[in-house]
Amino acid sequence: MSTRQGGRDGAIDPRIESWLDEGPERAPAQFIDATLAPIPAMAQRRRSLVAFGRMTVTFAALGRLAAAAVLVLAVGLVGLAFRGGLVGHEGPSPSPTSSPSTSLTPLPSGVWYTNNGPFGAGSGIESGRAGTYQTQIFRPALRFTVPAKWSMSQLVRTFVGAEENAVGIPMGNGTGSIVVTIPTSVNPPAPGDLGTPVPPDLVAWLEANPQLALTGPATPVTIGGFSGQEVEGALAADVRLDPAEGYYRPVDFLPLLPRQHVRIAVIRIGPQQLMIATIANADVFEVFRPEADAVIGSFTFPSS
Amino acid sequence: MAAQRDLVERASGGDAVAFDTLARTVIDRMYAIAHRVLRDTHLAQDAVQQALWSAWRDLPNLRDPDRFDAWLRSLLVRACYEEARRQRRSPTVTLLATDGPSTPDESSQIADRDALDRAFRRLDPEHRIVIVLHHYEGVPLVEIAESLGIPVGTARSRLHYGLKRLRDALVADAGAGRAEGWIA
Repeated sequence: MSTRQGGRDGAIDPRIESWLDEGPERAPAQFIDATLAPIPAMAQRRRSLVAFGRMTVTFAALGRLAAAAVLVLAVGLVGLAFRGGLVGHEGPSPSPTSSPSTSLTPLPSGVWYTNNGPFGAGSGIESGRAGTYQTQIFRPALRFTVPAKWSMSQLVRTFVGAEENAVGIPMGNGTGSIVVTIPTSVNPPAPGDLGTPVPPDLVAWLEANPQLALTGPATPVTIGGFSGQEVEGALAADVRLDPAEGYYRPVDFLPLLPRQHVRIAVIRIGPQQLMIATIANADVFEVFRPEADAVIGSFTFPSS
Repeated sequence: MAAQRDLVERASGGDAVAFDTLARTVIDRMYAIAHRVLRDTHLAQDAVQQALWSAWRDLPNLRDPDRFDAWLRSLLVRACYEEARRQRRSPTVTLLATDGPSTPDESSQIADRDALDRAFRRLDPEHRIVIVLHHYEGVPLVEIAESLGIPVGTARSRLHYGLKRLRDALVADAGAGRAEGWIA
């Protein structure tokens, strides 16, 4: 894939050959960055059984494994029950498993569900279709409208072989991205609740964070009818990037790069602090800002 | 090759930096292929993005790191099929750039390209992908068949059919050109 091979069978009309050779040979740099930026926040799918074939398993280990399996099963059942209960609040829409062959389930209103994920229907990644979407697993339920050419994915916290929780919704159009997430830790070394617990005033913590260089104090913001505050800036010049990842994560599912500009809004929905981050490379942030504002302006939280 | 294998193994273990490095070594080729198959910048970008995101998510399940290229190619093919289906639902019109006066030779080249472009867009994505992989990317038919999960004979047949349609388009275009006095 990295280089062209020489395995052609016979020659073809030189006009066809020449026509095939026309066209771009390199992907645009901004597209490459926008494509690869969300990767660290995306969970990988692992088949746990694949690893079992390589393990030497003792009886003691088998016992622990059995106990873990029971625990995982219990957590999974609770999770499924929890999910079923929440979906039940969404009204007369079909359940997520009612149409396993499609990744989106339309609601009667013309709204589409997204982020079904690998344990529900579909891949959890939707791309390019303009419309209004509603999260099915992520809570609080978020409804938003995007124009064509926007992609939506999901950030998941994975327990191998059991439930996956959607902990955030990234969406973007190749110029920049919007990440909606409820952080579970700050300054984590990797995705997940591995860092310090989220402080009660997340905005104040962001303002005081020496890893960030903000352009000014927090300002009031209202998103989807919920009030909050937002800050804006970039990583500090002397930011300590994770040596393994190359990113700095102010919160668990928000990896930032030095070249990026970021606007972070935090709104309170009940006891939760919902973070809405607008991210783009600094040189195109102002191009992306109005596009992001239009999408964020469509946010509603139907069940909140 | 050993360096790529190392990157694949590290990325498979969850090393996002290794995947970033790996992806940057292949993304230009992926984009070039997708653009030629789909003939559209945005669709090509979507296809490459979906293929790379799928690659990251499913990389732990790739058993043989040396098969990474073929595996990634099959993900790209699948993504191109999906984008091509969307393209059919939303047909686009491409305008050729014809600024300024052109000589007869340039006119005939433009006409050839236009005829090829129209004929190629009329082909199923299954035929397009074989033509691009084989005659642009230089992938042997055996490998293409493996990537697509089809017999080699089917790959050869698709290639033959696709090229015939392109040649037919050129012949028809030349006839039309003569009738309209484009070509002396």
